[in-house]
Amino acid sequence: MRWEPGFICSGNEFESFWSDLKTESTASRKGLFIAGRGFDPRTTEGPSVIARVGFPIEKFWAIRLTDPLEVPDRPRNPAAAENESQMRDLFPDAKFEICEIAMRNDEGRLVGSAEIRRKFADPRRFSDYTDIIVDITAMPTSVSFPLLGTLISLADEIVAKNIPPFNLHCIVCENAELDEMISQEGGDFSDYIDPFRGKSGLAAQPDPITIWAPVLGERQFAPLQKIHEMLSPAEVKPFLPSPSLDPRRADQLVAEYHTLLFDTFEVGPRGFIYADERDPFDIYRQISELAVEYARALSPLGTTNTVVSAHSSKLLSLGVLLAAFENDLAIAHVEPTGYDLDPAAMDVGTNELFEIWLTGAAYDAD
Amino acid sequence: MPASRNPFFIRTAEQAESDDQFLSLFSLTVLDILPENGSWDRFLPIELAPGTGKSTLLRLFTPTVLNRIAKARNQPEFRELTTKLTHIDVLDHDGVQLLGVLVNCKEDFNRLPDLGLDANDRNKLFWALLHSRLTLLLIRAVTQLAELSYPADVDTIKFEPRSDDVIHRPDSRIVCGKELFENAQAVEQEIISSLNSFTLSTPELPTDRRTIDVLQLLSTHHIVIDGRQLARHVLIMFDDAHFLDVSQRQMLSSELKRHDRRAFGSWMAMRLRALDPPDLVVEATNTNREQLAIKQYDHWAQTNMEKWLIDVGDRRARRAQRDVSSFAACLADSPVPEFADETLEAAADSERRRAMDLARPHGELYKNWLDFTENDTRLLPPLEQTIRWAQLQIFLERRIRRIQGEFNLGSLSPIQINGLGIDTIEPATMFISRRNDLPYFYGIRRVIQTASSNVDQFLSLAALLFDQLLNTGNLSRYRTDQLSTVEQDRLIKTQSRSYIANLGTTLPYGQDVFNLVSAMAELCREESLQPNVPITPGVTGISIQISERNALIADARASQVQAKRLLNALGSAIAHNVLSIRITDRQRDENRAVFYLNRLICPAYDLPLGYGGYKRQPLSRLYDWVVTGKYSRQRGFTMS
Repeated sequence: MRWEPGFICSGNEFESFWSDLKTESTASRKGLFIAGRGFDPRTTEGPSVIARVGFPIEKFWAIRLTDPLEVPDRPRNPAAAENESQMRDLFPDAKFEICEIAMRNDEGRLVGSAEIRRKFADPRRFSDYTDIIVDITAMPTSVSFPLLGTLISLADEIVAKNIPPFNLHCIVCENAELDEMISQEGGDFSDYIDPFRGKSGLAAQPDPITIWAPVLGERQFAPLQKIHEMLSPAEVKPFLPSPSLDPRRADQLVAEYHTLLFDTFEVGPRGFIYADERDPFDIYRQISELAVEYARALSPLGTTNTVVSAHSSKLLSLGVLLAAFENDLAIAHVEPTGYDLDPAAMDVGTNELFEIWLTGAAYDAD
Repeated sequence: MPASRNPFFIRTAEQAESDDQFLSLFSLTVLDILPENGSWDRFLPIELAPGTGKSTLLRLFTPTVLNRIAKARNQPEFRELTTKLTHIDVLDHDGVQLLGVLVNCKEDFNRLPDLGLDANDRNKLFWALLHSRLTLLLIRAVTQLAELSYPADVDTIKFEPRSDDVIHRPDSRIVCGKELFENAQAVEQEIISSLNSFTLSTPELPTDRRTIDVLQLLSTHHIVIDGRQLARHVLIMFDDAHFLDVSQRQMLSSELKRHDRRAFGSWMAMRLRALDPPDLVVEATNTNREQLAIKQYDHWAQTNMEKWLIDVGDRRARRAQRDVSSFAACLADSPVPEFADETLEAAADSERRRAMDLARPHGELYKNWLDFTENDTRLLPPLEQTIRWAQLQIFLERRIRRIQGEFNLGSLSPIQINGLGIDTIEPATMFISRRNDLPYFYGIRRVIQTASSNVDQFLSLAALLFDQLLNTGNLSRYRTDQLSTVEQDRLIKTQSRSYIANLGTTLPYGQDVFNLVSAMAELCREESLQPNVPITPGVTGISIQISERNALIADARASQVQAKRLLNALGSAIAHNVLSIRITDRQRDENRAVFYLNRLICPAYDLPLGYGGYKRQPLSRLYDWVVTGKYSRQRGFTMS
C-alpha cells in the first residue's frame, strides 16, 4: 500500500514539524499555500502556525467558493472576509491570489470538481515550489478531494519522469464541538464526487456488485439515506470511530442510526468496522483491504464496485480519499448548498492541528 | 426470498434487491396511471413529484421482471397482473412481447460540459454518448429478455430490416449485435475515461468507429435472435431525465418526438425539480394532453390512492417475519376501547357544558337547539355525544357571530340545526381531541391522508407504526394486538415534527422553505382553531391571485431580489412535495393559485387533513415569512 506507513503529526508536534522542516534546508524551500476562504473560525489556525515558524510561503491561493443560485439577499457571513484579511497579513511577502470556484452552474448542477481540476491540473503552475500545503479546514470535501487527487496525480506524473516531486502536505484543524455547531442546508440528492466514480456507470459491463462503506459521523441521517437509495448496495459495511476521544462515540452512532443501519441497510451485528478517529491512515488501510478482499471473494460472481462515503471529520475523510485514490473507488456524497454558523458559537471547543504528508521526500524510495 | 423484520423500511419497490422482492412488493394499481390507449409507439413525458411511483412503473417493464412474471403467470398471486399485462399487449401465450430498455440519465451525460468544449462539440459528444449507451443498454436488455449472457452472447443478436417499413429505410443491411456492441463500447469507454480523468482531457473518439443512430435503427429494423423477432414492442425508458442539462433534455425530447408513433415507444421520466421555479408554480398545474404529469396523477390518485397504498401496506406486512396479512388491520381505528367509560363520559359532559355556557347569555334563544341535541344524543355512545356537542358549539358560534347586535329573534327551531352537516365533523373531532386529550391521527384512512399521495411518505409513516408494533410485541406468532390510537397519534405527530424540522437542512433553499412553511402552518392553525370554523374543514393552505403570481415570476426574471428569493423557496417546496399547488376556479374577480401544505405538516400543527380551506395572503407577507420565519437571528447559508 502506498501510504503504509503514512506520515502524520498533530498537537504540539505540528509546530515543531514545520519549524524543523524550515530549518532543514531554508535556502531551497519554496512554499505554496492553498486554503479555503471560508467563514470557519479555524481557517487561520494552520496558516498562523506556519507563518509563526517562518516557513517560506511564496504564494497563497485562497479558494473562494461561489454559487450562482445562492439566495440573493441573505446576509453573507462576515467572518470569511475577516479570515481573508488575516491570511493576507500573515504572509505579507507572499503573492496572494483569490481563486474563485463556482460550486454549481446556472442549472444547479455541481461543477466544483471540474473547475478545480481545470484550474489545478497544469503541472507548470507547481513547478516552482518544493512544498505545497493544502489546508482543508475550510474546504468542503467536494472541493478538497478533487484538489488533493489532482495534486497527487500530478506528483505521480512528475515521478514518472524521474523528477523529484513536490512535497504535498495536507493540514487540517479539528474541533469536534465546533463541527457540531455548523448547520448545513440543501443536499436534496446524492452523487459521486468527480472524478471518483470507481467502476460505476459503464453500460458495456454487466452491473457490478456494489459494496458501500460509509464512515459514520453524527447528524447524517438524510445523506446516508439518500446515498443508500442511489446505490442500492448488495452489502453495507459501516465504519465506526474507535478508538475515539469519547469511548462511547461508536455506540452512540449505532444508537443514532439504529433503524437505518439494521432495518434499511440490513447490517448484521458483526458488520461494523472500527477505525481510529485520529488516524486517517488507519481508515485508509482498512478501506483498501476491504475493497481488495471483496473484489477477490466476489470475483466468481462478477465485478465489485466498492463505494465509500465520508460523514465524519475532515481528518477521517482524508483516509477515505487516499483509499479511493489508490484503489479506484467511487466516493458518494450529498453536497449541501450552504453552511451556517451562529456567530455566538465561534469560540467553542479546542482546536487541534494535524499535518498529513502525502507525497515527496517522506515517501522517497530508500 | 428471506422475510424482513420490518419490510416498510424498503423504501420503494424499485429499490428492492431482487426481481422477486420487487414483485412481491409491487402493487398493480399503479398500472392504472398509464394512458388507456396504449404507450408502446409514442413519446410520453412523465413529470411527477418524488414518491409518486414512476420508478416502480419503469422497473416493471424491464426484461428480467417481465420474464419472471411470464414464468410465474399461472401462480395465483400473478394472475391479476398477468391479465393486465396481457390486456396491454406486454404478454401473450408466446411470452414477453415488450422489450423495455431502462436508461438512467443521472450518470455522466450532464458532466459533458465539464470538458470545456464549445456547444457544437459538446452536442456531438452528447449524442455519441447517448447512442453508445443506449445501444449497449438495448443489447443488454435483449440478452436479458432472451436469457443470454451479456456481453458474451451479443453476436447472436441481429437487427434485420423491417418488412413493413418502406418510408423510413435508409439502410437495408442486416446489422450484427457484436458490431454494434464493439462500436458503442469503444465510444463509451473513451468518453468516460476523459470525464473521470484528473486532467479532463478531450476525448478522441475512435476514427474507425461509426456512431450509429440507434433510434433510427430501431425505426427501420427488427431485433432478431435465432431467426425470430424478439418482441413486438420496444420501449425505451429514460429515467431521472431531470439530471440532464436543459439543452440536453430539449434535444432528446425533440428527437424522441421525431420518432413518435413509429416503431418504438419512449418515456422520459423526470421529477418536478427539472423545472425552473417559475415553471413549477405554473406548469405543475398546466399540462398537455400527451403528458403524464401531476394533474393526471392527481386525478388518478383521487380515485386510486387509498386502494393503492392499502395494497402497498398489506404486501409489505405479509413480507414481515410475522403472520400478518393486513397492515390496515394492525391499526386501531377507534379510541373507544382504550379509554375508560368515565373518561369519555366526562369528555361528553364537558363539551355539553361548553355548549350550554355558550348559549346561556342568549337566554331562551338556543333552548330548542340544546334540547334537541340533548334528546338526539342521549342514546349515542359517549364519543359520538362528544362530537355532536362540539358540532353544536361550532354552529352556535357561527350563529352568535352572525346575529350579534341584532334584535332577539326569539327561540330558534331545531330544524335550523339541520345545517349541522358533515363538514363540521372533522373540525369538531379535532377540537375535542385537543380539549380532552384524545387522539385524532389514527387509523389507516388518516395515515393515508397524511401521506399526501406520496408512497415514500406513506412508507416512512407505516415503517414507524409497524416498528412500534414489532418493538412492543403486538405482533406475536399467534395473534395481532392492534396499535392503539394514542400510540398512532403520538408517532404520527413525532414524524410530522421531524419532517418539518428537517426541511431546513435537506432541501435547496431549505431554511427559506422552512420559514415560509412554518409561518404558513401557524397561520392555518390560527384560522382553523377559530371556534366558528369559518372555513371547513379548516385552513391548510394559502392563496395568491394569478396576477400576483405572474408579477412574481416577471419580477424574478428581472432579477428583482425579493421576488427571486420567494420564488426559489416556493419552487423548491413544490418540487419536493412540501407544498402542492392548485388553481381555483374563478372566484369573484380572478382565479387564484393555492399552495397547500403537505399533509404530513398538519399533525404538528393540529390541522385537519382535508383539502379545501385556504386563506388569501398578499405576496409581501409571503416574502416576510421567507426572510424572518420564526427565527430572531437571520441565518445566512453561504458557500463561504
